[in-house]
Amino acid sequence: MALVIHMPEERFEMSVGDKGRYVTFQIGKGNRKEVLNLTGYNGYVSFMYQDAAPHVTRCAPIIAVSGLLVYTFRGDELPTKGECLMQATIQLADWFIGGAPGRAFFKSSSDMVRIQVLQVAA
Amino acid sequence: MTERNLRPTWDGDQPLYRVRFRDGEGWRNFASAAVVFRIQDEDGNAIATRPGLPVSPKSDGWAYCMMKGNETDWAGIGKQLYVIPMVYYAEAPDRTPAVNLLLNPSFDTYTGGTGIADSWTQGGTLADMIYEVRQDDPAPPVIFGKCQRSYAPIGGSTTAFISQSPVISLVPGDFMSGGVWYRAKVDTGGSVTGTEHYLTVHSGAEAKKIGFPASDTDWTFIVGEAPIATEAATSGLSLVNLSAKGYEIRYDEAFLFKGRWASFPGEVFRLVVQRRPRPSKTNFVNENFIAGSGGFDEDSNSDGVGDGWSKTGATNTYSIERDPDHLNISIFPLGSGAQKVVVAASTTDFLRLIYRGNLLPTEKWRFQLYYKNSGALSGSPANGDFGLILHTEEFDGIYEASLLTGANFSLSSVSAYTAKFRELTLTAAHSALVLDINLKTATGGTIWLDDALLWRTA
Repeated sequence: MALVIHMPEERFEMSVGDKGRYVTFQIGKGNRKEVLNLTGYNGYVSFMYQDAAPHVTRCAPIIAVSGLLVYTFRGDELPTKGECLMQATIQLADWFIGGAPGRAFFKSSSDMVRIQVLQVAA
Repeated sequence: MTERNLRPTWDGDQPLYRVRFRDGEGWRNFASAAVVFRIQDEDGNAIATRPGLPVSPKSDGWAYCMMKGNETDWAGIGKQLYVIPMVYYAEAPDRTPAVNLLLNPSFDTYTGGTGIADSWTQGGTLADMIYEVRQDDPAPPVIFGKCQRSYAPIGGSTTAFISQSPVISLVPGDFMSGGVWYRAKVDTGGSVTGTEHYLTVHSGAEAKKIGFPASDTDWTFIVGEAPIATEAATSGLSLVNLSAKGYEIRYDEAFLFKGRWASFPGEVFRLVVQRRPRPSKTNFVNENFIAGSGGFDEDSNSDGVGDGWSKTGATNTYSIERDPDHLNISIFPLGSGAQKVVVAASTTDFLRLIYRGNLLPTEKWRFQLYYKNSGALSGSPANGDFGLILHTEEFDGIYEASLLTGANFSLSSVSAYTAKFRELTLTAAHSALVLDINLKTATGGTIWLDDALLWRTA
């Protein structure tokens, strides 16, 4: 069940304040043939500019049996012109009842998606 | 020794890797083997030891290696880690896989009463030694089912140990070998020397002692071999925790056999840790460490609780609130949901989220949450029973927790979202912070929770 997130480095263009568009991440098994059933997982996406901490990190719904994480832009992710980085992370819902920390849990992130953010004239 | 690359990971992630071991033309058979991964940095410094989990069927040579977030935490600096597998084979004198002589070696069978797993016998003086068969190690990669806990509190007088002495014919020149998975923790103020806690393989008066380390140790495998000098009809494996110096140890998957351990390092794997921006220790909203889960915005599995949170108890009624009138709008960026809980005098209900990372002494952490309710609630919750607790895990350094006094939500009418927070200043290094929202005792209304935040404030 090693994990592969099928998001080779992608570049695409969006505009400041875009919303309504969505990006889908396909999460695969280590054998690179089957999707990973994400039942029990949760996911989120982060947006950041180069050398800065994420300015938006937000839950994203997953479609468990399809291994998909789908994020729909809400309009505040791309506040300024330039190259904005987007990264998806999936993790198991975490739990412990007095035992070994970190055993039942793992999380893994996709590669960065590079979004060329264009300025739209007012 | 060759090296292979594992898929790169991102700074702070907790990846799971599946690696396969070759044995000549075929694959290694892990049926009678233990696999341990030793993790080093580029300079050869030991970072961690992690149990490996052979994948069923074990004859196919696959094993899982799971990394913790604090092992890949490099504060944004690109680094490489080296993962060195150690494989221990129990081999009989004719080099075939050895048969385990122990009964109930996994400690999974327990009929109750003594605290000691079936087939194991207590020796020495029990005094204040605490034995328990626990199954609360949640699915560790190697350690399945129950494990045996042995705890000698500070200041006691115990000399207890547990052992088995199976019948076996031994002649001079034979070897008896044993091994056990263990996990150890030293109490605050404990003065463990390392000489009173050991595994011993014995035969008559001959014994080979292998000490457990005098420090907190994550699950790892320890082996011992005893050369036999005199003829004997029995042998034994004892798990000893003699002194009363505040030492807690858990055992699992013990092995005792006639023969020797064949142990070798496997092929080394190199793991690239990629750089990623990380939040800093300021308390601006954007540096929320649990932003991906704290918003209660999604419920992908329709269990009524926001993604990322675990729920215990089902007395209360949980759902995701989508009505904008009931969402917290004081926090940017805005979310699209809130956690709605109809409280019903539960005795057990709570929500939990665990943040895992590299947490250091003197750091001050704040767990904050916004809440409101539908009107005055009833009930008389004890401190902390209807509120927030920020704490660390057992077996992860010293257990530390935020104050219970003042932790509760108000039972009076709270019509607008109000912040509630708990703070914890760490005195020891940890790999996890546990965020609990206790929802016990209160009844007679609804409480909404939104925008949980975890900040490092100092």
